[in-house]
Amino acid sequence: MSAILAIAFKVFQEVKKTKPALLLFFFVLLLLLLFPFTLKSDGTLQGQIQLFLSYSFLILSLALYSNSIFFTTLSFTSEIKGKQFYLIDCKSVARWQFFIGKFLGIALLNLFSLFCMGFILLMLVIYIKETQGTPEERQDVQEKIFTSYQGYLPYIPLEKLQAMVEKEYSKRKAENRLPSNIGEDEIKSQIKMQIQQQLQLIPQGYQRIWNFYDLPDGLRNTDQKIKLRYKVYISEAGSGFLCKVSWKIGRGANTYILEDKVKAGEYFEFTFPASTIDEKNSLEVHFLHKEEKSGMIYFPLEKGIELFYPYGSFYGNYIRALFLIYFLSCFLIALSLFASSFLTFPVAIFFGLFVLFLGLITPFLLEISPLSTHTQEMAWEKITDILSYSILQFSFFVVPDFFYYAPTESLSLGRYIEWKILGESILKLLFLRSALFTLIGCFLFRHREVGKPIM
Amino acid sequence: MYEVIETINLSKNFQDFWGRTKAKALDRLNLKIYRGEIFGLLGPNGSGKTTTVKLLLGLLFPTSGKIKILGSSPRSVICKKYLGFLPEESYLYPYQNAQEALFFYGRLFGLSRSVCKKRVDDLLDMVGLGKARLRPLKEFSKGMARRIGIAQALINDPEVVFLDEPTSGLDPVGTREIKDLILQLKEHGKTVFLCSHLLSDVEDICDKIAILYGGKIRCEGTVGDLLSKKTATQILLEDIPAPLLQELTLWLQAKGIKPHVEKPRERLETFFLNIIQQARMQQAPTSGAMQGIKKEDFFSQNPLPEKKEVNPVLAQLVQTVQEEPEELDAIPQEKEEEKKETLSPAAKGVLEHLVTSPKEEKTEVQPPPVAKESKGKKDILQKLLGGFIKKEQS
Ligand SMILES: Nc1ncnc2c1ncn2[C@@H]1O[C@H](COP(=O)(O)OP(=O)(O)OP(=O)(O)O)[C@@H](O)[C@H]1O
Ligand SMILES: [Mg+2]
Repeated sequence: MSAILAIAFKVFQEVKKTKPALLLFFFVLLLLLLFPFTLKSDGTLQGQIQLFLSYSFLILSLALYSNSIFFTTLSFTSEIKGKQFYLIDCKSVARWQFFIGKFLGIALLNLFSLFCMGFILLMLVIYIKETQGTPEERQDVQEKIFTSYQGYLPYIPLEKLQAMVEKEYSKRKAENRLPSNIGEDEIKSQIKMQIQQQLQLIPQGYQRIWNFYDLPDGLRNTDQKIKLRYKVYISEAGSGFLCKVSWKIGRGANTYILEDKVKAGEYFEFTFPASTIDEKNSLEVHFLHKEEKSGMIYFPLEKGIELFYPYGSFYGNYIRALFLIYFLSCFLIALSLFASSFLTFPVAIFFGLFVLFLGLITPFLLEISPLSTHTQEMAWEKITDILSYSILQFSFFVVPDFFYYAPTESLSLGRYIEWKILGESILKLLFLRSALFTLIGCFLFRHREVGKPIM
Repeated sequence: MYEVIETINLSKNFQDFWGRTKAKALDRLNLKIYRGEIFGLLGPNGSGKTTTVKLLLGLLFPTSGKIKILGSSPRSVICKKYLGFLPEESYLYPYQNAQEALFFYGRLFGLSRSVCKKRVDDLLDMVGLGKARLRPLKEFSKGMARRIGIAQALINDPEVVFLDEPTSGLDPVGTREIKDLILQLKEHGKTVFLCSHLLSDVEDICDKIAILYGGKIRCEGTVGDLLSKKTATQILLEDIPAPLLQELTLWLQAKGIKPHVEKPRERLETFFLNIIQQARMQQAPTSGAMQGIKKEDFFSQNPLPEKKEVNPVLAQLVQTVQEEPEELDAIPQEKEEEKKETLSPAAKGVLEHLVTSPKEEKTEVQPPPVAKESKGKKDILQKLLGGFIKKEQS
């Protein structure tokens, strides 16, 4: 153990006395500190803080990611190229201990620098929040950003839905309208999707009711605000059209009513008191289509309407956000160590950056890849299909979806970052991917002839 | 005695990416090095010395053949606990200072902090860098870095020490110190594997040597055996008056022996050491390495302490620890007796007063700090002298 710790500690010596690393650190710090003040937001305090948070988190995480790759690769490969590793390898240190020691050292270094930077950023955010804007704006920011909200989706009566699906399926079957080349399950899931979409359509003069059940106990007795976030599309007008909306939240005496005009295709949110929740901890939300000039109003299936209730503080969220970035950086350290265990510096760097790049464009890749379209339709006869499919599958295993774990949006929108996703990142990034890369890396490194370089 | 290092038909070819052989560095090398020996591997540049050491330490893998170090594979982590290695160049971290570097290597061996600190202090004094302990290694001169390299090789009180050209880059004082250190190691029962092409170094200290050329051993044996001139005898006398010298010459001529008489020259090493010693006495300023301090109690006298941890061969080695010094002592004693018995009374008379071996002379003239003879060295010298005289007599 002392060997591992010694190697880890040496990483700190390495950084402390390597000036480029320090320079980079201060450069990023400068960017973080100065640049946000030059950015122009929509003029509100909320906009300013949101912009600041997303900008600085983007810079911070990118700096950390690229630095993890660069520094890890440099630190590892230079030991072998510079032959300093000879002196380590002839001591009673197993190669895996060296590997783990490096990982630990750089991971601790990242933790340290990330939390230093994170602290500075937090201070800046608080400074902006306390000194800028009007008191109302500050109150607004306190409610919208400095409180983190847990998201909640409306209840879907699954049994009813399933029954409707079955009915529709039998009807089509009877009418002989079923496509022959698709399986039954596939057809049913398509029908289900169609029905769900139909249910999101509201003709003029109609109203749609959503139910939110099982909200947290006691929430209704607090004086906290609940938030509803929604987006609408309009069938006979393009996006940007200003549409009249009319909401009625709750039942009986504690009803909250809102009439507003919103732009189609954009997210809107409004808050209302928690007292609208009834004794059974459920909430009824009515939407009334009163706009005469438009046809149907449509709420998109994915996140078309979502309820948020206050759940935690901004600070807890902030720390979880930092940890999400941190675990991604740990994955990159393991990846770079793996690459360095058998590649030379330039190649290993290239590999690391390439994976980072792929990780950043994963959502796009997923969209265009055959993985997103349905697998059952794939022509398994074609060997190229099988090959490209497995390569894709493999690369999506190697490259995690960076956006999935990226905390910036949640943080600046005041969404509660769940422990679940943190746990998932520990499990999938650390225990699965990092551990696997470390294992393979140790194995490769163990069988590497490190005494080769002579000049 | 047990082999500490053994290689069986060890070969190493260097191949390129496509598996084509670029260089044949070693060709069926067979070595057996026993405990307590100083073994010198000689050879011109590119003969495969460094490759041998790297193979013995597991930094390179053999193309064919077998290696056993302390009875196990060179890649065993346990056996590495007992090894020390000084590579041909000191591969140190420029960002550490002397103290940090040694501490780091000590911790790699799992030494506790306090033990580590103590050893680091002792070693820094020993290699004469006590004053430079806080200077970054990137500022070190080649010789100073070399000294740190030596210190790091000894941090774990190793059982077997591999030294690849230990004296390269060192000043003569440092060279002398290293040589003394190596002898001191031997005195404590350690085994030393030395690579060098500096013949004088090897000649001074090695028990056994092998000469490598093109990856093959061309010649192997003890220094005494290989170097003794079987056809001549050298008698070294203090400055004696001319008439006595003439008398002696005549006496020898009468016996049918034609002596070759000349004034011996001081060796440059001895001369140089004298000059430096004088400068040090005057306390002339220098930012370089200082004189190393001999730490008599630094090396463990009873190495390989944990029996259960080591393999059978190591365990056997542990048992021989006590026997060995006797064995070493036994050789010269025996020879001394032989020597006394086989000398004729006339020769005995002259020798009793005057004879010293040429090798011993060199150390006798040395300045105080380096002249202090280690017991181990005396043993070797006695051994060498014993063999020398015995052969001449027979
Ligand atoms: N990594 C390598 N790749 C190719 N050839 C190598 C490699 N390492 C050593 N060699 C070759 O092996 C041979 C032996 O080299 P080695 O370094 O062992 O010599 P040496 O005896 O230590 O020489 P020197 O006295 O110059 O240090 C040389 O011909 C060298 O070119
Ligand atoms: Mg060499």
